[in-house]
Amino acid sequence: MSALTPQTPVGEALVTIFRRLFECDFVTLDGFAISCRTPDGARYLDESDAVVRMLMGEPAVDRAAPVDPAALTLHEAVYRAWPEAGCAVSGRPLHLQAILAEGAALPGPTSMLRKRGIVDLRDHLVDPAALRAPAIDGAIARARAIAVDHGMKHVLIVATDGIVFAAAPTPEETLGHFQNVAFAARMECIRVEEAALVERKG
Amino acid sequence: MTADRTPVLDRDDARRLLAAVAALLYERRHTELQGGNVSLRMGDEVVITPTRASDRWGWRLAPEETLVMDFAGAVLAGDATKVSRETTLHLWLYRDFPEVGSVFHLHQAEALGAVAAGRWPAGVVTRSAEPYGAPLVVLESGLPAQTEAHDGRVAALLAQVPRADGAISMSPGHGLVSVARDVETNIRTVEVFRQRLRLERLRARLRSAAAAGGAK
Repeated sequence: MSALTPQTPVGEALVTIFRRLFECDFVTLDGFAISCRTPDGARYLDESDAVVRMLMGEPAVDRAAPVDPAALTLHEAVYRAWPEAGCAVSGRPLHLQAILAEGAALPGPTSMLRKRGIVDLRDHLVDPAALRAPAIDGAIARARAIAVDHGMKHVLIVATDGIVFAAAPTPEETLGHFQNVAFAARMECIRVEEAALVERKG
Repeated sequence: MTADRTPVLDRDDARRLLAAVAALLYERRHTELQGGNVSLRMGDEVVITPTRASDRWGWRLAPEETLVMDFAGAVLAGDATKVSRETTLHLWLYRDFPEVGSVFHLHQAEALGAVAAGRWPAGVVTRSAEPYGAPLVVLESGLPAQTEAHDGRVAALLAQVPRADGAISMSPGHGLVSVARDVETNIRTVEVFRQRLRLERLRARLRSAAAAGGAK
């Protein structure tokens, strides 16, 4: 497995992003899609074929759409709205789902989030209806504006049902944004549990 | 619902895929080192892991260490002395359910813990994909594994739910049996099932921690 760079072939980039997120448990096979833009349109990898592609080493360059039509709407919208978008990931990180389902506070900014221009995850929070057409175009424009305000080039949207959507010019940047949110949520869950232990001891 | 995207395999590729799937399921901790078997259907044949794939091989099998069998139980390729007792259940499910293309028997800790806690009553728990990502059935406690009574009860319960998109049968104290139309869908079935169990437990822990003052 080679490094993930802007030169990584699309099929390999899709599988590499999946492998890294799956190995860290930042995505499971419960509603995720990864796409890269190509001159012939976007190419996709999702839960319907990711594991066998990963295990058998087959290039995933033959998929022009994910199985889930909602994911297609989301990914197509970002490529249509933002010509620089080269890669997108949508998925449902476990810990973020739990935080949102419990109505708990979103994680505060980690240094990793700040480095990528994310100062407050609440700025990125939207109703799930915002991920559907035609509202998705407005959600993407708003996410782009937040990024530009912080001198960044990306789209990051967090829906209140736990879906995270990240897009950026390169696969590496997209992976970084998605995993930062998933990791921050995992850390926040641990922080809450640790704080309860401290409280009990105190 | 997922489309059937598992590539059409020849026997060598099917054995290579099954060996890789067995290793993945162990690496993902869907099973442990004291049992379990995974298999896939390839036309009129079944590719299945050998006995003691767990403790003897640590789930890291060479493709040629898998067995190729017909539905009557004859070994067509691989070491015929390494047939697991669990093979009977796998072949039973393939014979009864032509739409099933993959069977896993796993010792998944989350699922075993939940059933041991009495989370679900025996019988059909749900015929739909919600809330566990797949239909779920639970056997009565006390049915000894690797017996006709146990295997027949698994088949009888699974007969009552849709299976092609994935279904799960829990044997208390023994393990999980999952079936699906293909190996990809079966992996997804056990991944999503565990994810849903983890989500429920995580939410409960967050509630408990928040009540104890951890959310400050």
